[in-house]
Amino acid sequence: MQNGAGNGARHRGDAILGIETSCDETAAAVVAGGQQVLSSVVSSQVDLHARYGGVVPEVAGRAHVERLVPVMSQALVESALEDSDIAAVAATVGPGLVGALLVGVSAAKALALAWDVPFVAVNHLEAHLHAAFLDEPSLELPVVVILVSGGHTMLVLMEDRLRYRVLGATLDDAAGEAFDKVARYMGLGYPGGPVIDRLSGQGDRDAIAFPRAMLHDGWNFSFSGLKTSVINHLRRHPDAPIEDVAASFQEAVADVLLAKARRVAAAHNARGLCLAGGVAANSRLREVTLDACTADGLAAYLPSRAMCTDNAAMVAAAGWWRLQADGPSPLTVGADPSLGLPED
Amino acid sequence: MIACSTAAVDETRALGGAVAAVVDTGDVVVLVGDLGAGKTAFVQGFAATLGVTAPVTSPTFTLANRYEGRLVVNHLDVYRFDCPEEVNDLALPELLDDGVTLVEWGDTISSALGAEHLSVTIRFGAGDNDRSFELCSHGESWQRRADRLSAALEPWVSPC
Amino acid sequence: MLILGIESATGRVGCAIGGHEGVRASVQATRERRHAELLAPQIQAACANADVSLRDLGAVAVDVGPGLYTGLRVGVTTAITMAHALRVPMVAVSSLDLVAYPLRHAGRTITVMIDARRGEVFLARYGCLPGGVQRLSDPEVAAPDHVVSQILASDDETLVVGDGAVLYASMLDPLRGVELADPGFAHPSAESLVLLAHALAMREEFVRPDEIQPLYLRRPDAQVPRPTR
Repeated sequence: MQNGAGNGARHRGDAILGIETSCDETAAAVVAGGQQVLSSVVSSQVDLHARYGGVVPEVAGRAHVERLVPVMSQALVESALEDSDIAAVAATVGPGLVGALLVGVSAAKALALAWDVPFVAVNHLEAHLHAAFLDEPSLELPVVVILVSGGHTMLVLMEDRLRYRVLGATLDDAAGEAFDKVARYMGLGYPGGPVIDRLSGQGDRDAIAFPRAMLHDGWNFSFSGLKTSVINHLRRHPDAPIEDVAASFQEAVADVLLAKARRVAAAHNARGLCLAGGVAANSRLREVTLDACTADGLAAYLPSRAMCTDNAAMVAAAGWWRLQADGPSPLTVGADPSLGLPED
Repeated sequence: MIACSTAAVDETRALGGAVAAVVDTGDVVVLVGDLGAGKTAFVQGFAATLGVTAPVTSPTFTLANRYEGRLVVNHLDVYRFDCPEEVNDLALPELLDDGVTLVEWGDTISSALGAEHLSVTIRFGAGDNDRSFELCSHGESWQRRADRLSAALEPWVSPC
Repeated sequence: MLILGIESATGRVGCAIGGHEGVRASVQATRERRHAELLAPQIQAACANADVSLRDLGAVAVDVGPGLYTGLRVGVTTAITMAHALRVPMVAVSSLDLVAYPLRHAGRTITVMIDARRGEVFLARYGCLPGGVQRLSDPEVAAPDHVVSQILASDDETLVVGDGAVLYASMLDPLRGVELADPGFAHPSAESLVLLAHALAMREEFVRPDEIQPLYLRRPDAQVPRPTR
């Protein structure tokens, strides 16, 4: 008996239920064949965390427990499939907040046992790399993925679905974190990304020449110094128009990300640049990515906001590819808050 | 109270490392200082002394980071918490007993952190990189360690 | 009716399967912070040992705490998801009830103390009834000296039990009329959960998966009144 349920004879399709609870989004989705999104439900907790100015792990853990079953049910209903059509259950096991991850991992294993189907452990970062394919099935590899979020900033050369290399990463703050900190200092509230993006639209991005740390030095990033420069500028010029400060800060972030991404693309003969992660929703970053690709003769892959931010469709898709390559994950797998990208 | 000063980020890191030499599981260190004052640099040095090899960044996006070294290091940012009741939302009892906990901007909720803690206040000095520190021991266990702490901080103690 | 009981409120994690004839199989382990790794394989093993398929279950029972939050959420999430997927009802039992239940023949007041960390315990008092226990006070979180004064004020013969009682034994031991239960009774067990849940199921005291919430007690808006701290 493979597990407690023992009825493995029923026909299963190629639909995978994905579950994502690594941070402050409770999400479930059904994806067929690693490509066709049948449903994708995301319940954001951003309102719960806003009063604290950031994600509170304990609050996130509690909310995931309350929301996961309803979110999962909705994803199944919207997919128009029956429980018995689900071929496997995939869940994010890391990286992320351990108390939040455990909720999704526990739920996915319980479903796998109850339905007698495989459980697939998914790396959250790998899932982000697969997100763009769901919007752009014809995405041509190799591609340089600029993965930017509240918790991560990295340049990944993706050569195949499950073959990639991390070529650069932040040495201190993530790009999204820099947005949050600058917004906090300017009294703009949380989350900082959307409000800085909006203010920047009315500001002069060349008004202040903030430093581009490590611009010509390797493929890694540092955003901590930029944050300090913005704060020092505001301390010296309390009357500086915040629109100009926001626009100049945002420009510095986008500038350094693209400068390095283009060099990586050239060095590895990549065919395009691809955005992933929550910060990929930033309008200026999308603009400069498009401009850079036009200038360098590269394809620009700019997934929809729904695919950039945390969602479970990307988890189900990555889970499908992992299941084909590695088979089911053992039920002894736990959550790993500091899981890195597996590199060949 | 011990007054110290540093003139560079690396010195702030070293000072944090020196404080870590006298801590044990269950200890709480409260860090107070404006954004950019060097709280994260202090924690980086502190964590390094305790054998943490992972990169330490400030917990701004997720308000509680956890690092495993020789001891577990919890790094919390509670700048927006304005009443002790909200501390319940951090599950502090489980966190605090689990390792050494550094709390940024913890002065607003210090009543919930318990009587036993070391508070570290960081202020900007004259130059861009100058910082002054005030370290205050609260509670019996920190009073007992006062001499060891003073000795560890010797290189940075400001002349009175 | 066959019931799967899932228990993960303290450093221990486990599950048991049983029904009217008692417990058929149980698996438990004590490894803090490893609940998520252990629980699903334990459920597989319990099914195999009891020669039961999950599809034969009539209900899923779960220890809803109070206890250590992270471990508690592993058990509660597993239980509500499984009940939802199997389309069976649930039975919710408090960890404090589970610690009191095996001592139902003690014939005196039982005070259950579960370690809540940071010098506090989760606490409730019980009286013995024929075949069971009855809770005399609402679960609360308090310092152990609060428990001592409560016991001193009550004048009852009291049996104290739980990992909190073991931890603070030196404060409790000298008290007149107080006995410490054997440390073997210190943790809630999945076996007790199945037995207690079966009795509740016979009375149709079921809840739906979406009605189940871990009992945190320290939550600011907890239903249970906050103690003076």
